[in-house]
Order: sequence, then C-alpha cells, then structure tokens
Amino acid sequence: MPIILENVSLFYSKNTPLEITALKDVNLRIEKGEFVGILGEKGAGKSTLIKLFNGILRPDSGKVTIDGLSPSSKKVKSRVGMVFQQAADQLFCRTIYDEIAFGPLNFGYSRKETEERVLEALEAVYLDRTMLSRNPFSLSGGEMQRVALACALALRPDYLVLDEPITGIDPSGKKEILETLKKVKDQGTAVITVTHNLKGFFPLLEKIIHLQEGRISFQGSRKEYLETENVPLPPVAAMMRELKSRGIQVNPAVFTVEEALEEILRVKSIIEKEKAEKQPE
Amino acid sequence: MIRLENVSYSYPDGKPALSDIHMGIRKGEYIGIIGRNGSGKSTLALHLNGLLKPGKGKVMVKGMDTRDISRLQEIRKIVGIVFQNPETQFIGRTVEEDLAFGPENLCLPPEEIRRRVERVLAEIGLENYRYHSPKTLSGGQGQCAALAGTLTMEPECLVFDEVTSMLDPDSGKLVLKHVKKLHEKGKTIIYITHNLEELHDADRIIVMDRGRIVLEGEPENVLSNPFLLDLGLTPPSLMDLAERLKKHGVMIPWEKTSSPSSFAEEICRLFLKT
Amino acid sequence: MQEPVFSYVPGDSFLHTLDPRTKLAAVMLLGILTFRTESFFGIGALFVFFFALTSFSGLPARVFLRAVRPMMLFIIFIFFAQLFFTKGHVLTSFWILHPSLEGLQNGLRLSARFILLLLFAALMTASTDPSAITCGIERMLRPLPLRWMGVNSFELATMMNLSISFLPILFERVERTKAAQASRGMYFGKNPLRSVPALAIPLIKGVIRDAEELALAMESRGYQGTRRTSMHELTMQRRDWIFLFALILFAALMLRF
Ligand SMILES: Nc1ncnc2c1ncn2[C@@H]1O[C@H](COP(=O)(O)OP(=O)(O)OP(=O)(O)O)[C@@H](O)[C@H]1O
Ligand SMILES: Nc1ncnc2c1ncn2[C@@H]1O[C@H](COP(=O)(O)OP(=O)(O)OP(=O)(O)O)[C@@H](O)[C@H]1O
Ligand SMILES: [Mg+2]
Ligand SMILES: [Mg+2]
Repeated sequence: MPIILENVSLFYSKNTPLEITALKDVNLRIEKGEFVGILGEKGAGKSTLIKLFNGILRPDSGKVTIDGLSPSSKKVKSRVGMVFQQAADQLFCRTIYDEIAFGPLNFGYSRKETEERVLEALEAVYLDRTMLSRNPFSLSGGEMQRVALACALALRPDYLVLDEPITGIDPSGKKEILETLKKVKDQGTAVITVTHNLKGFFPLLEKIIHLQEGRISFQGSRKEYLETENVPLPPVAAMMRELKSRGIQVNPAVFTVEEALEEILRVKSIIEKEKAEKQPE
Repeated sequence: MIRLENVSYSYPDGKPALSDIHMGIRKGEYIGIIGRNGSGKSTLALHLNGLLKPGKGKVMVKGMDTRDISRLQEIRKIVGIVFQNPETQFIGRTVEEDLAFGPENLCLPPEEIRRRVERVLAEIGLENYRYHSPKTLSGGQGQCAALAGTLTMEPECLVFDEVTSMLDPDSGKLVLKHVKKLHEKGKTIIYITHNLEELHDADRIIVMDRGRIVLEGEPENVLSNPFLLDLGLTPPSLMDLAERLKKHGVMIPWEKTSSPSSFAEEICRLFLKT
Repeated sequence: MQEPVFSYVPGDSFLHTLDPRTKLAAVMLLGILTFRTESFFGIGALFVFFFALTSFSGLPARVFLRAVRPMMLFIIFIFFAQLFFTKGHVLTSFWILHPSLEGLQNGLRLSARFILLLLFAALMTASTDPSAITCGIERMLRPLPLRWMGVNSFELATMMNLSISFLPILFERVERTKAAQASRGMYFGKNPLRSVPALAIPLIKGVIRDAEELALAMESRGYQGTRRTSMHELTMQRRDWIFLFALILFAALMLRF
C-alpha cells in the first residue's frame, strides 16, 4: 500500500498578513520500494510536503494516507523514518549511541537487537565506532548529518523520508551514502528524498516530483524529466541539452560523465566521417 | 591582510582540530577551502575573526592579534563570517531586524542602516519576507537571510562556510554570482564548500585534511590533481569530462569548463569548424 | 499553526507612524486611567476611545480577539470571585452562593479594566515594530543613572529584546524536540508523566546550546553590549505632540468627572 495525498493544501500563519500558501492542491502517490526525488526552488514547499508523511504537519484541507492509515497513528510511525533538513535539530541525546538507539528502544526492541541495529546503521553511514561515546553536538556539520541519517536507518522503515540528506557531506562521503541508500532501496524500502544535488542523485531517482510555489509542476519518470523545459538539470545533462540545441545531434538524455563521454565521441566520429566524405568533392 | 602563524587548536574534549597551520591571505584575494568532513574548515573559519583563539601560534588581522581583546571589535568589523548552520545565527525577531543587528553594533546612523537593509533585502531577494521571523523561513531562505545578515555589515573580508549547501542550483548560482561581484569590488573572499564546481573563479584553493593544509594552488592545478581522490574529493563533472575528452584528442581549455553553456560552445566550435 | 498573542501587523496608518515613545507613554497613561476610573460611564468612555483609535489603525478585529482570548478564563474567574465574595445587597441566593449587587458591579468593573488593558496593549504591539518598542524603551531609560546598578540602557534593551524573543525560542525548541522524538516513535498524547521528562532534558540542553550559539553569532556581528545605534530613527514629530496633548486633555477630563 502506498502513500497517497489527495488535494492537499497547507497554509502557514493563516489569516494574518504574513499568510503563506505552502502547498496547494497536491495530489501524489508513492508506491513501496520506489526511489523518489522531490525537487524545487527554495521555499517551494518541499520540507512542508514531507512533514506530512509522518504527521508532524497536518493539511488544512485534503487527505493524507499511508498504507490506508492516518500518518499520525503509532502503527505508521514505525514504518516511516525521517531525517530533517537541519540535522542539528534532530539530535537531543547525550551520546551518539543513545541517539541512534532511541528509535529502536522506543518501538520496544530488546537491548541486544537495538545494539545490533545501532552498529549496522553506524556502518551504513561510514562512521567510526569510536564516535559512539561522543556528544552529538560536538560534531562537525557533515558528521551530524550522518548521525541523523543513521537514526532513521536504525528503524529499518518501509519509507525512508529524507530532507536533503547529503548536504554538507564531502564528495566521497556522498558517494558512500548514495550507495547505502541504493542498498536500502534494493531491500524494498521506499526512499523519498528532497534534494538539490542533482549530480549525485540523478542516477538513482526513478520518479521525480518538481514543486513550484506549493504546486506540483512536474511529476514523472527521470526520462520524462530530462525532456521537460525549464527545470534544473545536473551539469552534464545541461551541457548535453545545450549541445543539442546548438545543432549537434547528441542524445540529451544522458547524465553521467561516462555516458556523456561515449555520446560525444560517437557524434564526433560521425561528424568526422561526414567531413571525410565531403572532402573529396 | 590575514596571517596565520603555526596555528594549532584542540576543542576542550577532542583531538586536535587544527595543527600547525601556516597561511597568508592577501587583500582582495578569493580563496577556496575544501576538505572532507571534520577536516577543520569551520574551525579555521572561526579563528579568522577571533571567535576562537589559537591554542598555539597566532592569527594576525591587519597587524592586529586576535588574542588582543581591545582590538576584537575592530577585527570583527573587518572580517565577517557566515556560519554553516543558518538557524543558530539569527538574532532578530524579524528578518529586517536581523539584518540591522550588525550595522547597529557598528553604530551607523539610522538612515545608513536602513539604506543597507533595503539594498541587501533587494539583492538577496528577501523583500517579501521582511517581517517574517527568520526562524520560520525554509532551509534555503534561511541560508540567504544568514548571508544577508553579514552583508549589511559590509566587511572588507568575508568568510562563507558552506553557504549554498541548502540552495537549489539556481539560487546557488545567484549567490555565487553575488560573491563574485563582491570580489570584483575588491573584497577579500574565503569560500568554504564541498561543491567543487563552485570554485572555478577562485584565485587559490586550499585543501585541508585532518587539521592540516595538504595541498594549495590555483584551481586549475588543484582540481585536476589526482591526489584529491585520496582525500575524499572528486573533481567537478565537467572538468572530469574535459580531462577524459583530452585523452581522445578533444581539447577543451580550462576556462571553458566553468559552465555547461561555455563547454557546449567550445565543443561546437571544435566539431563544426570547417 | 500557533500564532503569537501580541504580534506586529505591518501597516502605515496614523498609529503606525507615531513614535514608539509616544505610544509607550500613551499606554502607561491609559493604564493608570483605567485603574483610576471608577464609574461605568468612565469605563464606557475608555472603550469608546479605544474603538476610535482602532478605527484609525486599520487593524483587523482578529488581533484584539487574539489578545483577549487566552486571558478570558482568568477574567471570568475574577468576575465570579468578585460576584460571590463581595459583601453587600444579596440579589438572589442559590445553594451556598449569594451574589451581591456590589459584587456584580465590582466584577464587571474589574473584568472590564483587564480587558481594556489587554486591548490597549494589543493596540500598541500590533501597530509598533517590536524592535522599535525596545528602541523606544532604551531611549526613555537613557537619562536614568542606571550605571550605578551596573548596567547601561543598551544592555538593558538587548536583554529585553532577547527575553521577548526567548519565549518563542523556547516554544520552538519544544516543537522541534517533539517532532524529532515523535518521528522516532515517541508518543506524546495521553501520559504527561512520561513525555515531560523525556522532553525536559533535551529541551534544557537544547536551549543552552542555542544560547551559546546565539552568543557566538552576536559576537561575530560585533555585539559588545556597549553603545549601539538603531535602524529606527526616533524623532518626535508634530503629530506625536498633538496626540500626547489630546491624550492628556482626555485624561484630565476623565479624572475630573
Ligand atoms: N513554521 C513556519 N511558519 C511560517 N512559514 C513557514 C514555516 N515553515 C515554512 N514556512 C514558509 O513556507 C514556505 C515553504 O517552506 P518549505 O520549508 O516547505 O520550503 P522548501 O521547499 O523546503 O525550501 P528549501 O529548499 O529552502 O528548504 C516558505 O515560503 C517558508 O517561508
Ligand atoms: N564544538 C566542538 N567540540 C568538540 N569537537 C568539535 C567541535 N566542533 C568540531 N569538533 C571536531 O573538530 C574537528 C574539526 O571540525 P570542523 O567543524 O572544523 O570540521 P569541518 O571541516 O568544518 O567539517 P564539515 O565539512 O563536516 O563541516 C572534527 O573532528 C569535529 O568532530
Ligand atoms: Mg526545506
Ligand atoms: Mg564545517
């Protein structure tokens, strides 16, 4: 059973001069096991949208259901793991061990099982075991972000909901965490992530939702996204599209360096062949 | 303008965060700092205007030692820092009030403060959020507001600690453009980032690892240095592509790898010339 | 979403453009007046005065409802306490309660006064930028010899600013910690004995950490607790003097009758 949003609207500071329409008439369906990317400009309502998935926010109108249940019911809570945009907000325990163990203990797992999960989660975010006794607030920005992600992974949720999970993480760390997420997805968990990091996430996304001023302006597969006008693209894809618009016959639906290389070389050989044919005339 | 001499620092409970840092920053320079998580970038930033005092060695800003408390106010007027985490740096209850906080401390006359606040609000595109509490802004808006709060102080030297990390690509580019403009106006810029694509215009890049400076030089050389991979850093994708194309005889000069459009333009020039 | 009780509503009405000091003085004067006025006629006149000012301000009625609503329970309590526990002509008796005429009058008077106070305070806070209020207070305090007490008016103003914003910060911390815990299975609802301790410790630590980082951020932006200027230019204009003069006239009239 999926996450379903029907005609959801949400306002902040309703009926004041500072009223903000954060979401407007959003309809959405996310299946189990999908890898979904939520994109959009700053302030488009992405964080607001995902906070609906575990009942932190409730819509002013419309309906949210997860597996047919309300997101604020306790049963659903253990199925949705959430990482907020500001990792520092999410940490509140004295040591990192307590922090990661908080979720599993709360859902009634034994000490032993909890410990297992903590160690597994720590490994999945590539942190060292010596970290376990440290205070979460003495970490660097990127380290905190990793701990926050470990907290959600330790729940082994059906839906892993992430708000920009790789901000502040160094490039090789990004690669590691993306691999972890892919593994999690392959085990059947739906990964739903807000992201600005197209370069890193693009190869993983199966479905893309683009928000604009609280409305969904695009919803579809990665391939359809690449063919859409006026959406941000990863640098390589942007370059390929530019090439195409300048009259070079490349396939623009390409986003890794390797594929781009291949595609450019292919076109190059074609052009050279044509030139060679023209020359004798 | 800023000089660090043998600076070492350890947090009270931790292992050394900086060890034996030696560096000089010239006036008007644009420096990028990169390095993996926990390598000490933010700690270094906090030393530049005396928020942290070196455990060993010294930091000099225009000839003033940051350990000299009587000069701190002056130092902070010269060096402004935009921190990594936006929401712990809001002081005002409204965005407008927050932007005014810095200049108020500099004892500027009211009309000058208002002029600066107006200008920065417009430049950063936050006019519509003037009366909102900075704490209710979205991640990216908050990051812009934090940036704006330091811009109103108009310091000579600006330190940016991962200021575009929560911004969508378009807003990030706008901020970067703004930074470039500040640099052109003669400001000294120190730009910390994990997004190496943003450092194309830097004069010099410093790579940190475990509290030390391990690599230093012009972007062209540093970003294509194979040693980067060992440090957990990967080159920007367009540079990577250019580098690989080179092996197949397609030469894209370094300047053209700065943006997708200049890259594409160069390929067209190479392929379609008759 | 919850909203602050007293909050600024931006605008450019006559009231908005008055100097914050004028409005502070006016609220104080009206406060004194409210508690010096005994007659119902006087209280009625104050209400009329309030509505007159409100119509100048262009503020929506909601602002005022919001200010009075949270205090309503307290006001009703006061009313009934006065009604039943004031000795005098008993109106009717039922059970052990003997409401008196004097009680009714006292109750009405007292609750009307509280409501008036809240309304005037709401009128000021809604029409004045909060930072302008503290700036105004700072200016009013400046001539006082506060230095003897070891503080100066600048420090006092910043303290005030920060403590006004402290409550929102605290609430926000509560919200955040709650959200963080809830998303990891903590269930708040029924049992406060369980949820309060779970919240309290992270909350205290969170607030302390917030305070530390806030101090760092303030320091970084050059705050020293010494002389500083303000974005708001405080100059008493003609309309300020006119307003104050009219108000004093009104007060004198009220106290006369
Ligand atoms: N608690 C709040 N109170 C009032 N307004 C809010 C609150 N939270 C968010 N907003 C506003 O709602 C809008 C949407 O915010 P949201 O956080 O969902 O954006 P976002 O898409 O996550 O942006 P970003 O990429 O910058 O994080 C913004 O204009 C923001 O200012
Ligand atoms: N307040 C603190 N108390 C104790 N140790 C700290 C504190 N802040 C940072 N550290 C430690 O000091 C080292 C350097 O941290 P710093 O924040 O400078 O790293 P960074 O290069 O900015 O990393 P990131 O890219 O993740 O932001 C890290 O090992 C970190 O765990
Ligand atoms: Mg967000
Ligand atoms: Mg850092």
